[in-house]
Amino acid sequence: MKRDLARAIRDAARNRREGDTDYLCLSLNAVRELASEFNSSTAAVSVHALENGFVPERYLKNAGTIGLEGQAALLGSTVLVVGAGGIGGHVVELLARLGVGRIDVADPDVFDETNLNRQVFAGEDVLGLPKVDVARDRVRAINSDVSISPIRLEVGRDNIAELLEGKDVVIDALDNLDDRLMLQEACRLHGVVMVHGAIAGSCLQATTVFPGDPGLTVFTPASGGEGKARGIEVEMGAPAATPAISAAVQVQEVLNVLLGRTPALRGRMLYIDLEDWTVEFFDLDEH
Amino acid sequence: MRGMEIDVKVATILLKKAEPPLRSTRFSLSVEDGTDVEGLIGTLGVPPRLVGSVTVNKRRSPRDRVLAHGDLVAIIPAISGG
Repeated sequence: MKRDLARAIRDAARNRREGDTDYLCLSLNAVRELASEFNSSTAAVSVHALENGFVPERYLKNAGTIGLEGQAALLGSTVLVVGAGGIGGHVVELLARLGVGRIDVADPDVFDETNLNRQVFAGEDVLGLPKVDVARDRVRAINSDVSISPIRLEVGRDNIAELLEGKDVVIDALDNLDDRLMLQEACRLHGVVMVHGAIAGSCLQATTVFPGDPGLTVFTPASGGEGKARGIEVEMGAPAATPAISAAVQVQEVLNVLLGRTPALRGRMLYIDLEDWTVEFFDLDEH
Repeated sequence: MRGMEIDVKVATILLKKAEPPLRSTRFSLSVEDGTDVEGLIGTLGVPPRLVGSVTVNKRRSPRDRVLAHGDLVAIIPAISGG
């Protein structure tokens, strides 16, 4: 069966040139037909193709930086996105386009009007609908290789262990410090890398926390652990570009982690003020 | 009483929030002997509620830590929106 599929892939492939590199590509239709013919999924066909030097055209523009083996690795990866709001929505869309094979996204909320200014899946027609359900529908339309699980729950100590099971990396797209500290601690206990991002007004911060790294423990919640400690974002709000950039920064770090590359933000917090493009790195290491 | 020289790094958003606004994200400052972290925040005019963390020589520091000559103090804002 595998050899027939291999031949079928070869027969369906056509050459495309990117710069001075030739790629043997499979169209979306070809992948679908092969999946149907061999009673498989488009994801499995894509992985088989990539492992044998063929590129589904939907991933052609990933090839120059991620490579074919890397793309196969992404399709075999599982990620949890905690929060489907300003940051989380963009994260989910970017991961889907990149071809991360399994995405769990958790958020208890429905869309409301105040989300329209920045949340990528918030449309006038989905107000009142659960964010994770809308995210699922949008991802399915973007990339049918991706398995997406919407989890309409508030993530907490009572359910986080189960949610972390089998995850290669977790994205912290929460909206308060207490929950973020809880998530980091749970990731430490379960040996999962967490990529953190947060915003306030025109400012964003991001860091990558490996289990046992100090990470966010440099912060002490003003609430003392009761209630949801919030920061400058209460008065500065969240205009559209800021969460989009935080999400993109976090997704790039997720790529580093999933592809076995050195995460650029481990051990330090990136700060960007988009108003005047000041950039600072603060060390989070403890000697 | 001798003063001491410390190096301060302040996240950009706190520059504008300080009263009066600070001009640079990195600067040296002379402070009195016995000044602690909380006192430094007050001297700089940074609203304490906007401070997420202060590290001294790259380690998290309580607000009552007394500073020493040559310390590198980083004032990190409280940003947690998502």
